[in-house]
Amino acid sequence: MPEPILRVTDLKTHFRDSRTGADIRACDGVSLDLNAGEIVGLVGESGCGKSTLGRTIVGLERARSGSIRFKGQDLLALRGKTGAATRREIQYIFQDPLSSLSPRQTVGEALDEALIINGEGNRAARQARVLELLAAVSLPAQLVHRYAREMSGGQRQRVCIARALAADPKVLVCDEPVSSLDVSIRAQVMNLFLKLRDDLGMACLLIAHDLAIVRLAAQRVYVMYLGKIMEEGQSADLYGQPAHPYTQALLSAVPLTNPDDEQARRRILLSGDVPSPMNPPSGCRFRTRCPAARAVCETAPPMVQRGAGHVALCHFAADAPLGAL
Amino acid sequence: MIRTTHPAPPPLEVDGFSVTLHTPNVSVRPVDRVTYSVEAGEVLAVVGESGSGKTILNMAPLDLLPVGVDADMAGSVRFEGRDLLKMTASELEAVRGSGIGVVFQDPLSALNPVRKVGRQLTEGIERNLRLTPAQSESRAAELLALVGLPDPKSRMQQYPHELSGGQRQRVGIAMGISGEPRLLIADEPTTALDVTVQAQIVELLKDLQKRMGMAIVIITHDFGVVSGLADKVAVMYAGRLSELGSVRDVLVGPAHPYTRGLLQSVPSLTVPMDTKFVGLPGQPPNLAHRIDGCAFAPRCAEVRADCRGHRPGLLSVPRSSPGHLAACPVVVNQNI
Repeated sequence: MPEPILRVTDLKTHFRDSRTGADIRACDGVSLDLNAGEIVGLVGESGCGKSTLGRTIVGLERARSGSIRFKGQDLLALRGKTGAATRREIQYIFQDPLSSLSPRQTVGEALDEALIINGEGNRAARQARVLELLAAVSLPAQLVHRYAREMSGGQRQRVCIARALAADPKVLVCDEPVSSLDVSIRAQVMNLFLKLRDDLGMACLLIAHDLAIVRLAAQRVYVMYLGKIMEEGQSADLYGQPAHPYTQALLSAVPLTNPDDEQARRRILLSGDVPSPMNPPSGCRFRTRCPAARAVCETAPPMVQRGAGHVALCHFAADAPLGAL
Repeated sequence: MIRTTHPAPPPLEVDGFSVTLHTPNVSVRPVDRVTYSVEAGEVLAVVGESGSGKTILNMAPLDLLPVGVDADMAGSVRFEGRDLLKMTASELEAVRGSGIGVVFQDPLSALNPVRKVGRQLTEGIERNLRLTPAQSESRAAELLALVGLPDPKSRMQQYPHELSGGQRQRVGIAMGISGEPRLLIADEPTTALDVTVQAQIVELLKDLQKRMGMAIVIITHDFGVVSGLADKVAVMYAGRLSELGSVRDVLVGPAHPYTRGLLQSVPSLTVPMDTKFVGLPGQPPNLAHRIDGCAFAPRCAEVRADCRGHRPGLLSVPRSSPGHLAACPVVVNQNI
C-alpha cells in the first residue's frame, strides 16, 4: 500500500483554561491516515475534539506535540513561503457557508481573489479559471455576478468548495459541511464530494456528527471521544460490527425514520454528558458512561485488533458480540 | 355557550389560519389557510424545511414572534375551545403560562444569562401555580429531577452558561412544563444536540407526555425524531400543509411528492452502503413572490401542465386511513 497523503501521528492540541490555568486536552494523542482518493469520516459528539483535530491539520490551531506528515513533509516543522505553499494544498470547508463568504463580494470576485492568493497573475487566465471552478462544482456560469445572500445554502456551500479548489488542493478537511443545510439540498453537496474523489482523486476528511451521511460517503471511519480515537475501521466493518461500546451506543442513538423499525430497535441510552476534557477519567475515557464498564477499565485500555484495519480502544473489544452483517 | 353534554373541546384546533407579515417593502404570507387539530394526549409533529412557516404557524398565535414583527392573523386557533387570536394580552399571558407550555429551539437564548437557573424556574412556578416561594423552590427541584438533571439543588444555583447544551435543553423543557400545561409546544427541541442527547430528550418527552397526559406539538425538520415520538404528522411547504396523517401513513406510505422527496433525502443506517445521496432539485419558492399553482411544481418529478394552474388543497388519500390528506391531485387521482 502506498504511503498515505496525510499521516497524523500522536497529535496533541491542548488549550489553556484562562481561569484555572488547567490544560483542556481537546485532542490528546490522535493518529489518523488519509489516502489519496479516499473520503475518511471522523465522527463523535460535540466537544470530542474532532473539529480541533481538523483545525490543527490545516494550521488554524497550534499543536502541542506529534506530527502531521503531508506528502512526506512534517507540516508542523514547515516555515515561511514554502510552508504556506504546501499548506495551501490542504483546504478547509467550514460548516456555515454564509458566514465564510463576504457579503460584499460577488461569487466571481471571491473566486478571483482566491486565484490571486494562489499566484495566478494573469487576469484573462483567472477569468477562464473562475468559470472552470464553477463548472467543477456544477454551478451555472451566470452565478459569477451573484452575492452570497442571493443564493441558496447549497449553492453557497458549493461556492465555498469552488474557492477551496482554486488552490488546487490534494486534501479537503470538511467540518460539518452539510449540517447547516436543509435536508433536501444536502445531496447536492455530498454528491459533489464523491465526484471530486472519483474525478480528481481528492482526499477528504469528513468531520460530521451525522453517522448516516458518513456511512454513505466514507470508505473508512474514525470514532473520537474526549480527545482520543476509540475505534477505526472500514465503514462496512465499523457500521456492521461495531466493537467499541461507544460506537455501539452512538449507532443505536441514530433515529430511524420508519416508525416500525424505530419501535423494534434496542437502544443503548447513554446517561449524562461527555466529561470535561480538563479532567478526563483515568484509564478508559468512556468508562464513566459505558454500560459495560468493569474494574479493569480504570487502567488504560489497549488498541485491540478486530480485523484488517479495524481496531478499537477497549479492554473487551476482542469479545464484543459480532453484529449482523 | 357551553353545553356540558358535549365532549371537552380538543387542546388545539387550528382552522383556516393565515399569517401575513408586513415589512416596509413587501408583505409575505408565511402561513396560508392552515387547518388541523391536536387531541388530548396526542403528539403532533409539524415538519418542514427552513422558511416553510412551521415556527411562525406555532409562535404567532401565542404572540411569541420576534419583537418588532408586524403580523396580521386570520382564521382561528382555539385552545380548549377558546380562540387565542381573540384574547387580550393578559388573557394570552395567563394561557401561555399554565395552559400552553413552550420549549424554545435555542435554550441559551431563552434563558436569562445573568440569573440563576433556579430563580428563572421558580418565578414562573410562583406565578402560574400560585405557590409560595418555598413551595416553588421544592417544585423546581422536582421538575429538574423529572427532566433527568442530577443534583437539582446545586443546579439551581448555577447560571445558564455553566450548563452543557443537553442540560440547558432539559432546563428549557422543565420551564416549559413548569406550569403543568395541557399542551406543550416544542420548537426544534433537539436540533442543537448530539444524537445521544437527542435520544435522551425524545425519551424524556415521551415519558412526560405519558405521565402528565399532555398533548405535544413538536416542530422539527428531523424525521427520526418524528418517528420516535409523534402520533400524527403535518408536513409544511411554502406556508401550507402539503400532507397530514398518522405517523405510519406519512412516513411509511407518503403520498405527496414533497414528502417522498424529503424522506428520500434522509439517508438511513439501513440503506445499502453504495447508495448515492438523493435530494430535491431547486429550492423552496420565495414567499414574497406570488405563487400560482402548486408551490412544489418547479421541483416536482410528477408535475403536469395543470399543476401550474391553481394551488391544490388537501385531498383524501385513497386506499389509506381516513385522516390521511395530501395536497396533490396528481398522486391522489393515480391511486383511485
